[in-house]
Amino acid sequence: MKRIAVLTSGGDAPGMNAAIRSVVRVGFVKGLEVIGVFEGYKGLVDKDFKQLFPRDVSGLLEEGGTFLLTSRPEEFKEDVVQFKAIENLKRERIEALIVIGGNGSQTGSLSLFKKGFPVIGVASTIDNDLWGIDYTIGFDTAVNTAIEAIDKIRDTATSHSRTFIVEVMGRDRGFLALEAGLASGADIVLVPEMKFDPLKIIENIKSGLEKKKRHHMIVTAEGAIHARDLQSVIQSYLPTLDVKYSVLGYIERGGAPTRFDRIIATFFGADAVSSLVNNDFGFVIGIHENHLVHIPLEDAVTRYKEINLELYKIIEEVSV
Amino acid sequence: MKIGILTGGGDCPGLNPAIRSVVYRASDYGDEVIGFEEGWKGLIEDKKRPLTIKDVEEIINYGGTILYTSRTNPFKEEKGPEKVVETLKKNNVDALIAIGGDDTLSVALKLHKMGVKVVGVPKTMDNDLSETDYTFGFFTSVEVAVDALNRLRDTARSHKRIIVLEVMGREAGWVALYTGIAGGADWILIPEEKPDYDKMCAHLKKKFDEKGYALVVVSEGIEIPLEATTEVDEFGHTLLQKRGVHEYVANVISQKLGISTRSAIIGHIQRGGPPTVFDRILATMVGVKAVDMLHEGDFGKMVALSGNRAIAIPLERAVQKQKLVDEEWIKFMRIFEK
Repeated sequence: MKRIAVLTSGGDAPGMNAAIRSVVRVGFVKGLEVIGVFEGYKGLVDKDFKQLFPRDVSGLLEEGGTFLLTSRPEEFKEDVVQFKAIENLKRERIEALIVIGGNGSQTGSLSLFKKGFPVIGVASTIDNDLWGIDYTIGFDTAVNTAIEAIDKIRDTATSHSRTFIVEVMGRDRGFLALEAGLASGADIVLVPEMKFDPLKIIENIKSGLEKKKRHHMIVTAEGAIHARDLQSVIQSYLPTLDVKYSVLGYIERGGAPTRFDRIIATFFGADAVSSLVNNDFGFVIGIHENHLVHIPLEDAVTRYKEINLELYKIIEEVSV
Repeated sequence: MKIGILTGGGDCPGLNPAIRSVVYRASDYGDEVIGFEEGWKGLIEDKKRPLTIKDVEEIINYGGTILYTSRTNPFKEEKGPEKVVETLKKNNVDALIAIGGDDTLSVALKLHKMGVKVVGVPKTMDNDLSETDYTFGFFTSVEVAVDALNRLRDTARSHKRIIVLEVMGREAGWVALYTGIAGGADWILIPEEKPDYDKMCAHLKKKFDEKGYALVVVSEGIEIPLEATTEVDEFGHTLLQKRGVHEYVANVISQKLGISTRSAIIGHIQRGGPPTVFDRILATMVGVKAVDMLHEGDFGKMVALSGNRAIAIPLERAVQKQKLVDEEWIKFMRIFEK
């Protein structure tokens, strides 16, 4: 292996830059040429390539986002486009590709791999939704950002004796909502994986009021129910209750990566390069039970990662 | 002297340091302090608790208010003012310190005219009180907004997008102005200026072509057509959260330019969190001054910051007119639209 490429794809996640930096520098140490592909799969089709050297990635460790830019091109789902991408890679004498991204991006990796091109995925998404992997790059930072925001909102909720709904990202999955909710002392957490039960929420609030709780904090994933809609639901049952909401939205995505995300990003990136040097590919690199793992691409994107019901249970217990 | 104290209106970082400071200064005079809970509601319903140094010594770093707050306006409640006076009398309160924004201070002024010995301490994140240079809460809230803008920059740059951030401020554009300047936004929309969307979009297009993304800060109070709601609170303020200003502006940009545009709103995050150093010092200064004013008989007045000194000014003047972003500031803002 002489020449490899790296790209970031899908939603940006803090720590992507740290992973790119690791790939570029470890690649250099191991005598590889590392080509950066700009704007994810779009750059693969448009041949937006540039060779990267160790000094090109200076100062990136602490930067959120991705300096290689990213995209989610719909057209990349088509076979002909994927073949064109492979052709572009081969024409550039690129022998393998490292894809830093989440579920959608690794689905793209799988397609290229199935068409015979050597690909390694690096797990990076604030959704944390890759099967077989406990934590993906960016998730820890996003949870911490959400916690910081919820802590601020709690000051207001207590001061005004309010019920507060905080909507966090998570269209299909509730990993972020669950951990952010648990870590910020939410009374109720709503995730898309569980049935929405308004009566249970109302009961919870009522019993809290009886116990003289000063405020109620509800964390909801956008895919469970939107904060605005939940506000209406709660107020239809409890019209006099002061209910406010806040949508964290895009603010959760950015920011400097936490120590955890920097460390796993650096390890994942280095491991991706070492694996390619050993002619090993076709998997996503992640962390499971505190060890680096290689999850076959097919498993990582097609198998369903269950949410941790233990977390759900303990949220109910500690919000007594 | 027995001093009553309350916090009214929206909470903001600095209220706790101010309460703490009042209690500390009061002890110099041998005064007793009694805290009324949930703003004016506590004075209508006689909800209170004594405050000693022990109660407040560790609260300087907390956001929110340990006395809680509400938007209750006694002049809108039946026999409200009478009940307030009665509660003060019942608790042998000699004088009152009311910490709050323009609404709370207006109530304080009316009570003063009824003979209540009261001093106001201004608080507002919006920085829209005239006669004072700054109020505590403002800089903490701008800090939070700038932090959010920095995060949005990561995503805007990574996805080649324009991102619009909506910040609080009601009719005053101070929060948006300071956030935009300190956070390096490409365009700032404030309520004091009629939005020129053509000019804004032309500039955003230029910046987008140059660096691959652009950031806009918009104040919640700007004029947008077809207001989504006319809901108002007890003081007659439109409930701004429901208007969706950020979505509207993002729509205008993506329609005019065809560039992928997203938006976010800071909302209530801006209200909480530990006060910054400036807000802690300012809150502590005005708390001390408020107690001194009670002893000097400076009733019906408010503590203001003038340069680096806390001074007393008549409440009447403070609540007369809102402090808005003026021409000079707008010219200053223009320097960075390049």
